[in-house]
Amino acid sequence: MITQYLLPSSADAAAAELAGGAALMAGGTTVMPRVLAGGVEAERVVGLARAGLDGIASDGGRTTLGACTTLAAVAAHEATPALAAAAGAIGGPALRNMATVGGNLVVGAPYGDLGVVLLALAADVDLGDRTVAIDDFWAEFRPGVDIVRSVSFNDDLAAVFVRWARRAANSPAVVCVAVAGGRVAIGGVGDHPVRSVGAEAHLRDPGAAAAAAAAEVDPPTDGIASAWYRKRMTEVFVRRALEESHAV
Amino acid sequence: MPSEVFEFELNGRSTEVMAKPLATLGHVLREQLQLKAAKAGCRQGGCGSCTVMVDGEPMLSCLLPVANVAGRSVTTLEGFEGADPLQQVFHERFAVQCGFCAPGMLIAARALLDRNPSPTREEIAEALVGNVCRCTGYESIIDAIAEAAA
Repeated sequence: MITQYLLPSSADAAAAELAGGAALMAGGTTVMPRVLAGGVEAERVVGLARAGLDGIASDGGRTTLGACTTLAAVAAHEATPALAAAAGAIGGPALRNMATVGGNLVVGAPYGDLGVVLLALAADVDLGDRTVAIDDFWAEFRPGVDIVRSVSFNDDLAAVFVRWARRAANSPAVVCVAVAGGRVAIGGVGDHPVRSVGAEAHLRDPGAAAAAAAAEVDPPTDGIASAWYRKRMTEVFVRRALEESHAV
Repeated sequence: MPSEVFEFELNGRSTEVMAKPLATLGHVLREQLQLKAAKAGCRQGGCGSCTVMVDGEPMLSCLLPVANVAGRSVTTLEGFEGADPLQQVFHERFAVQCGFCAPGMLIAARALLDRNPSPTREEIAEALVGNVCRCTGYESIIDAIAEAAA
């Protein structure tokens, strides 16, 4: 049973609580429903709201997003429109005023669209004691030990993000695709975003790239879509993303 | 979990409550302070019926621990005191059917108009995507907000 809720004033203090067995919460949009349903086993919950992890810093074409930067703030960040579009398509305005960058990176299926763009952008993730390339992030991140401190990437006006969902808004993606600098990232096809090596080998041929991407993915069936449908939509949206990336 | 005292501004008045820190703002508003406008709908961040303003921005009171709003400014629909032009036009335009979503819709609409006094229909719809109306009265709600903005 949860007996304490702590709001430490630094990420290091939060990490120390985590080491003592506390459960971690950032914006609360996915952790609080679990807390309210009695699904969090820890005795203490440690919140990051006052840990000083929010804010966007730009320096010479490189942007650093603090882990507790809200999706609303990312949606208003114009230096990388694809990332702003991904953030702005998640939930509604009230949810985006709470949900955070770091939370979205670790939230798991069917959420986490921001990570798809960050994977295409080859972002670096600062975990406090080490910085990892986002390609390695989901293997490296240790739940209950690590706290995402910030994410950094080179701004990219030409990056592309496309998304397909059951409804036009406030609906998790069936699939979403980001393309940046020759990297193709896909979301909705597993527990976390993945790159498509096959698509990246055919960047100038969207049809071939799309077929290669669809052949690679092994998506789940869930309440949002079947594996069959996700595979078909992977093909459609990888093709559209590459066509759009050639157009801009 | 032991209760603690939290102080925040509520509808323009300094307010103190004794609550468990992880209790939601929505629970404190409804069950302790008897402010029933913000609803407990889906409690998962999907329906928007619990929307209140925190420091002028819409947030989901059903997922926000009361400890997080200590020292901040909270506005609920009660804070409009029936005097917001949006409330009059919602009434005139029949933008309220069962009424369950209306407080969240009005908060979302007020937050939009505070930032963008003359929104397009598309901008109004975008501001409301997190607010579900199960009577599906969206067109009249958008009409009402457009009229209030005109």
